[in-house]
Amino acid sequence: MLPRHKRFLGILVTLIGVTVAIALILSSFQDNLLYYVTPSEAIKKIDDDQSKFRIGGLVEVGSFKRKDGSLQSRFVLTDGIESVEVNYIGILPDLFREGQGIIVTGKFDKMKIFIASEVLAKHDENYMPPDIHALKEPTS
Amino acid sequence: MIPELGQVFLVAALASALLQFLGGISSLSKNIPNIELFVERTTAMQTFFLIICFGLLTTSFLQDDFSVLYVASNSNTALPIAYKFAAVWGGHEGSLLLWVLILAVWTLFLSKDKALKSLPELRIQSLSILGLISLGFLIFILYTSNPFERLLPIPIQGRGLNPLLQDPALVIHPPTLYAGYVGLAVPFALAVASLLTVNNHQWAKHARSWTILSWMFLTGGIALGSWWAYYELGWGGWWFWDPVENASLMPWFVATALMHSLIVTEKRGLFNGFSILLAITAFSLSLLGTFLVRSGVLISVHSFASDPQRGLFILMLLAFFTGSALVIYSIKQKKNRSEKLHPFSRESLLLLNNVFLCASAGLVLIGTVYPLILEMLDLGKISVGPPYFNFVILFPFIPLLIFIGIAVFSNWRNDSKNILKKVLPILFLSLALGLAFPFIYGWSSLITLVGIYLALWTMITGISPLIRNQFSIKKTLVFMPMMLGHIGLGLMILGITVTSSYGITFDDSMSIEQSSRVGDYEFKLTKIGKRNGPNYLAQFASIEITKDGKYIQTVYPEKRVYDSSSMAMTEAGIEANLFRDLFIAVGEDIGGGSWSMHLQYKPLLRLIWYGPIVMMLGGLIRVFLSKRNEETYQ
Repeated sequence: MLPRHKRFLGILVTLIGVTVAIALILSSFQDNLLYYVTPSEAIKKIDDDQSKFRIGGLVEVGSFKRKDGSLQSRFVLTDGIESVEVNYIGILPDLFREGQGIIVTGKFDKMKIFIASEVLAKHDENYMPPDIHALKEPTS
Repeated sequence: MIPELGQVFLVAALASALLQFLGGISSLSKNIPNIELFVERTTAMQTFFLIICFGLLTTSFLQDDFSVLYVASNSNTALPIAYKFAAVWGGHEGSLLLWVLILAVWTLFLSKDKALKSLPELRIQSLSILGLISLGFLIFILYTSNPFERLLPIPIQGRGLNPLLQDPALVIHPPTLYAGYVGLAVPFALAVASLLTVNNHQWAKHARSWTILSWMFLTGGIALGSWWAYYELGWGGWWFWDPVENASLMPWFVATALMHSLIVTEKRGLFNGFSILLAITAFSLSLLGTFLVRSGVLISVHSFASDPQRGLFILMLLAFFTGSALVIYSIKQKKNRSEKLHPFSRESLLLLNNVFLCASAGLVLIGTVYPLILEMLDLGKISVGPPYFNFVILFPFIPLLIFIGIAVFSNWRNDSKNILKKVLPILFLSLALGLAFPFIYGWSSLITLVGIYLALWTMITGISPLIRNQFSIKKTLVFMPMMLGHIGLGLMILGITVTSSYGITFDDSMSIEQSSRVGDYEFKLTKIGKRNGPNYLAQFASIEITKDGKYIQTVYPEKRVYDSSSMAMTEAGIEANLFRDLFIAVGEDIGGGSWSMHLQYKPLLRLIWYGPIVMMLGGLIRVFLSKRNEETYQ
């Protein structure tokens, strides 16, 4: 192989490699973005083909239910206009309370219940996920 | 009285920093007698004043002087004395004071560096630049974040320290991490000073030790933070790809690249421009990290609007330092001495891996900053989660780890002959050893096996100089920093791979005398009780761990409610040895006499923190032991 050909081949391989890498990274970026919506916006997405997304809202007072001794809990998430019923199995965060702003990650099932795989609440008094902070702001 | 004195000394430090900067910069165009001594003295003065400042703030904390706003917001009388010290940097204002204090201490040490005295111009200008950085941050402190501000009327009790911070690891975590962040200002200053003065590659020799030192602190700080998150946050995770974590990881990647690039610049006089750019980037990312953590953008983009001064000021400092450094670079940097590089020479391989490290930093940067920019432009709210980072980081890291091993066998200047022959036995050895893992832990996935192979490959190639020299420590001392660095990295990769692939995590409901099974281990809840701590009330569970009926250990995970706040804090129960971690955290009372519990079995988890310790040891040996040997050897 002539040096010129060698260099050309080198450049070609590098270019293909870089293109593939960028394509993969961009597609992974698209796949792993979690969109964050309010309950009103979530209601509109019920029938869409879904990937996971996040809903931020307040836990409706009096809506929290749990069977004794079970890790499964149900509650209603609301933004004052629309509300979404949420089902979650697992340990709730320390600061999960009724009336508190939280974020759930997951998707709707066939019964139009939001199956959450993750529940986020305030981390401590000073830190909270940005979206929850935004939610609380109009009231304070 | 004490806070006012603190204020005075803060201004005095500012004045010294100003003199330090002006003195240095004015000697750039004309020759001023004794200017070197002047800059040296002002540097010492600045450090001295800042130490007093910090001491005075600490005194206010120890005296419970709640007339100082910062003390009232971060401490109270019930706080144990050790945490009163830690509370000094527990909030925004104090941690910034710590930032400039650490910067001043680094500057003082640089001014005491004997080797640098042979290059007086470089020395004066780098001290001057460090003075300017300090000046910027001191103005920032006085203007927006004064820790000595008074509070009227004086409250009887303070608000107390955030319970999350009341932990031994978190007492030393911020200073360690800051020492790393701020230490990167030294290679930055040396790089820019070099452009302004001698404009050759001599700075690299001096910058190397400083880069390694701050890299060590950065490594230690990140590892400590990860360890703390693991046992304190209650979820048993060791890395969350949280923006605050990413903010420390990005400078780490670039500092690692800088450390390696400086070797080439020092030894071969190559890649001078690239090293300078890396030094600028590393410090810029430190500033970006400070901005992300300290401005409040991360807590909320909205608090950015409610207190725009702070964020904007740091952003301006960032723009100023990075911008002017790049302008100086573009004007002054001479064209690199070009030389034909052989693709398998040591310099080429180091360059290649530095590119991969920069790519890693870039990918993390995109994932961290993109959602912030999108929200600030009001284009919707998104979050980029761990799946993105876990996936994309493989692209630079797999080739990086492959080339690390090859680079160890390469030579300077030439394509190394028979490199394949030297590498093949190790390749086969790691493939063979790697097969043991699926036998011990079971089959997981191809990527797991690749991770294990790469970890072993990195470790065995790292240790190979010792084998080649018949295990003579004396002969290999010069390789020791590289060896320990690579072995540490390999250990960490091994820990990460095995833990993430074979770990078991699940939530269960448990009642008294009931057991839960995790892998081969049996967790039995024997008791639930209450106990009083110094400033909290704890609910604890007593859990007996057995394996095949054999008793191992009883652990006592707790849920604490601190007096100063209503929130509950989780203290996990952990039973650990080198080979596995057993982790249990108390959830909540879920009725019917049952409690929810978070249970984990994590094999080889400890390696994730032992790895960085080994890496740091390598740095330590380089800075204090093998530096002289290296000069005579290579």
